[in-house]
Amino acid sequence: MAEFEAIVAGSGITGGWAAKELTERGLKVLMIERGPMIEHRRDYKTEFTPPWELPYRGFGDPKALATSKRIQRFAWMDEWTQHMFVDDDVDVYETPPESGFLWMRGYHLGGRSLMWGRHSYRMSPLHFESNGRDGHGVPWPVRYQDVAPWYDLVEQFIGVNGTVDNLPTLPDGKYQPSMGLNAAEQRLADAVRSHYPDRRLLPGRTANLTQAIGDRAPCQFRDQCARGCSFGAYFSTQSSTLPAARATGRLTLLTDTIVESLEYDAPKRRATALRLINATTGERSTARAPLIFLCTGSINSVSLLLRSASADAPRGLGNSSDLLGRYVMDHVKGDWVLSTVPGIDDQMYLGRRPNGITMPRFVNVAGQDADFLRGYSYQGGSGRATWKRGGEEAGIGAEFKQKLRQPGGWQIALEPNVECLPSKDNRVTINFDRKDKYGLPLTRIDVRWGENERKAAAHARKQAAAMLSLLGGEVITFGSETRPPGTAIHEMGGASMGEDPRNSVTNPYNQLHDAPNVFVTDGAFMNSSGDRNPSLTYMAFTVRAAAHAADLLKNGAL
Amino acid sequence: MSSDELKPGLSRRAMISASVASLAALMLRAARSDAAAKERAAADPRHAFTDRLAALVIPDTSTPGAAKAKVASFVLLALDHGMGGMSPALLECVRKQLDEAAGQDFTKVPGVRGAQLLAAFDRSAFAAASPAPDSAEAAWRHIKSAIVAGYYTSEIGASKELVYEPIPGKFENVKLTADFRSRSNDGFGGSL
Repeated sequence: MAEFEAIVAGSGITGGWAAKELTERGLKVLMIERGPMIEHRRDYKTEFTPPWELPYRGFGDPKALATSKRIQRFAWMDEWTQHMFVDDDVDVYETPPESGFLWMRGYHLGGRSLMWGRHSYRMSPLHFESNGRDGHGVPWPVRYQDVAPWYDLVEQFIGVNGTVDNLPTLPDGKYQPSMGLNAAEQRLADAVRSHYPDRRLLPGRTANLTQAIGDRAPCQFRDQCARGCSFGAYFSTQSSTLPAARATGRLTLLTDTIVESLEYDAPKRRATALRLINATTGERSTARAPLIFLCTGSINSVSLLLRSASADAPRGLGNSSDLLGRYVMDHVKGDWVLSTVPGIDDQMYLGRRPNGITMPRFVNVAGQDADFLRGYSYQGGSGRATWKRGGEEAGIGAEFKQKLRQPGGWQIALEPNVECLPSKDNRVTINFDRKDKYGLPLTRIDVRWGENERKAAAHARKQAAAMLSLLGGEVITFGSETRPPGTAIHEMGGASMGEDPRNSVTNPYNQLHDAPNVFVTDGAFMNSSGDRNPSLTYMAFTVRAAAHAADLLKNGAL
Repeated sequence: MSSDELKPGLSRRAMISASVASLAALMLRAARSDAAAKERAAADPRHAFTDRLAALVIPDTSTPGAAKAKVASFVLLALDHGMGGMSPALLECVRKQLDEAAGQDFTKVPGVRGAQLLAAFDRSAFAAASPAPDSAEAAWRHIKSAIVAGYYTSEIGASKELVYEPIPGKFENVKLTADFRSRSNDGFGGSL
């Protein structure tokens, strides 16, 4: 294999960024993806497929939903996008019943950057201080101001639509024009603002363009992003970072190749090679470079390091602290509350926004004002009932048909994103006694919600119902139980960052303490989850780490 | 082969050849399968009953209704494949109920009388928030959902009765007018 100066394992949200930044900084980069090629535009095979051309009209194959997609179905998966998600009979893992972790993944070029929810919020200063303040998890070794310039850079490149609101718990960024609110959302925003001076309901901030960037066109308001978007109107590896990396002429892309483990030179404290498996033929090989970026997704990167155990690193590479695989987190989801919205039936909208609403954290901000630590934010959205309501109400015949020509009543929903308290016992380990079809020992995920998450979720439900009741409609609370960990698809942690190698896995620039030429920049480095979607933060840290890595390499420090 | 498109074990040319051949085979198989499915559906003794139900729920008006949209085939597919937790027994349960109400084979009841019988049954099915799980009313609610879904995801229902708008191009808040027609796309996906 050709000589490379850097290898990026993974091609998703952070892998694409690492490849872009390192190639643009002059490095010859090999990017390795375990799944098959998905070429921008050419391979979005269901993008324009109408439901009548699908075997199950878009509702999905019941057999697949019960078998090969029995876990992936809990993602925002449908018949158009099910091929984007892994096969649950092939890509197996372990989780104890008490955890029931749902691990949603996409193994193909671009990874979950093709199917992600695109909500892009900065963590606030509060989030970077919480571990140090309440003693849960590893204290962050960086502060908001360390990351802010990198947030700026990322937002402007990927294109985030949003409003500038000057709120302490939700820092503003460099935004394209917002997609705005619809009539019901505006009504709730006004009601909340007049009733709760410390709360704001805002348009969501998503990585969908409202203005063109280069050959990426503005959003066409189809709300079907996860099928792939030939307009390039949302951020994905394919639409954004990969073209930039390719344009340098310094990128080599290797698909269908699984990284089994890393070779480690203990005296030099360096990882020297990646052991690879051809996913099609099973053939083994190695790839070498002085610089390695792990961007395979939090749990996969942690698993890869744990699988890299050797005589010199018996607990796994980078695990001298015994913290590798610990403090794994997700957000608590599923406690959503819905309300009808009376009085605005003369209002409608055209187009389908791939966006909704957000409400930043308002509990435990200035001090401890609730009986749980940390807090939550909300997301949600509103719309009018569609033709589907016809299956839920009385009526037949011409009159019934005529009625369904018009939209039904308004509904609006709020769903909390509850911060998960970092816990050493929430852990990823490896079961070396069981192997998958590639011969890799199985990853075991044991993440459980604790009392703090349950209290916060119950608080969020109650507050959502109170706010929605301001609308004067019928309020319906769904799910008195939170959904299992993994549901938010925000799994993170396992390689906490810190200054002290005894108490952390990575340093403040995402380098393994035990092997500084290995950078872990997917969500594994996260010390706390915050209460919001984390992908923007992963991207900002990846760019920051890539700039640092390129400098180190240039200065002969790697 | 460009340097950024390495695919171990298979050349790009081989991949393209394989893809074209596979696609052609798949298309041929799909066409045969589709034709066979239509033949099977038409021969299915349940088809006439299901077609009658669908036509009564969504009749022809200024636009074609559920019969012309071949909704019965979708309903039978949904029942036979267990979509939305459904099973073929639901249809038999509804059939028994309607045959009893009609005092004869429901499919042989004249149009207006059939509509009256089904409308009454439909009203009773939605009178309670949740009918008993094994009741004919609960079964009908499943079947009706499938009829509605089958119609509005058909080309006729989605694009002739409602507006099929794959690329809106913009988002804007508007006043709802009396002649507004909903976008079928708004309801696609999710569960049955």
